[in-house]
Amino acid sequence: MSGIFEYNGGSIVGMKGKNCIAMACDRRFGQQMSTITTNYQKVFKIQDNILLALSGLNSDIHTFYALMEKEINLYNLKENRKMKPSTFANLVASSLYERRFGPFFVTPIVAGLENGKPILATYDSIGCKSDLDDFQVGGTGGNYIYGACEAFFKPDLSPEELEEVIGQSLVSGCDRDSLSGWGGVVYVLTEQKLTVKILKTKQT
Amino acid sequence: MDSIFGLQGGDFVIIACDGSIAHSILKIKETEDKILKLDDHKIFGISGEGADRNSFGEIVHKNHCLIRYKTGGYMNLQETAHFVRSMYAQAIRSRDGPHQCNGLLGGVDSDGTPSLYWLDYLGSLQKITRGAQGYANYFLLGLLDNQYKPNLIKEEGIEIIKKCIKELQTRFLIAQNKFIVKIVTKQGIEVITI
Repeated sequence: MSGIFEYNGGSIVGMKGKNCIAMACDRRFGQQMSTITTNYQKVFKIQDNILLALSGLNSDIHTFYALMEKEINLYNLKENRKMKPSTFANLVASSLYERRFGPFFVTPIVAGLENGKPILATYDSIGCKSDLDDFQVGGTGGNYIYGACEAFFKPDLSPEELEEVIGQSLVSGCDRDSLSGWGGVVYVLTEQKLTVKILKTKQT
Repeated sequence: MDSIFGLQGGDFVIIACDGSIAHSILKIKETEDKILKLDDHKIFGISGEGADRNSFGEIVHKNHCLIRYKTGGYMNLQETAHFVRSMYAQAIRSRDGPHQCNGLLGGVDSDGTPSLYWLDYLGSLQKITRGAQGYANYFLLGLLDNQYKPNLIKEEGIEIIKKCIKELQTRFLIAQNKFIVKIVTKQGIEVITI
């Protein structure tokens, strides 16, 4: 398989703003060069204040998401409290490393709000956490989105501005990547609410 | 070489499969039914090598019966699809390796809602309104996209499937003469051979 990470395609991006975070993903699910559906959800709400975006192999996205749902539900039952975003970020890293010699073919991005402070972390497929940057990308269109992010991003953007910036970065990146696109979805999380917006990209 | 394709209408799901079994250049059978009946309102069309298709089909069917027995008799389409996916996903990192077959799972829930799911041998799962497995993907997706509209009625659905079959017979290198078409509605499963 020429690139198990490129088999299904897809791109994700996460950004920090002023007391808010945003995540965006494309909507394509394909099998190498063939597109199967254009409404594939890659961003999941783990908790009211935590979003998890996954790109990579579809099967492992389902499996890893189910694993994280299970972990957070068990945590809620055992400890009778919600999990902090920084704790969840660590949990993702250790869950990925548990499979060090038979990894999940996913690149996750975790974003959350902890006491109003934005948390953003990305990982490679075996759990190396990187949480020092204000924006993170993943997936086949990642490199294209990086360029757009560097150009558009500024620190401490408001939720409306952040939604605009992340949307534009995703659209520009996905327009160039043949394995991503067919629409985009932007999630903006603030203390009060989560807004979801669907974007149009080049329809190819 | 199998063609499995299907679509979901307003209150029904159709899955069609070609009937041929071939070994190298020899066509052994033309009337093989590759669409498994999971229960009165669910069908699972499987495409792949004969042995994998049969064995995975049996595993799914029997385990589906077992879960229904344990949990009170009824599993809806979403549960069934996720269950079949988990069978695929567990297998990919197991000693025996993945189940080498892909599938289309369709049916109608007890409240009349139809669903169609696309599953592949790695454990990918997507809910779709029209789709195909195998080489049929290349020939039929364009046609299905063009002909499909929301809330189709059963007769329109069958017409679209007939067009798909004609397309395969015209353009696909492998001659596939007989197709078995199964339609699931709230009333049950209907079988047509075209």
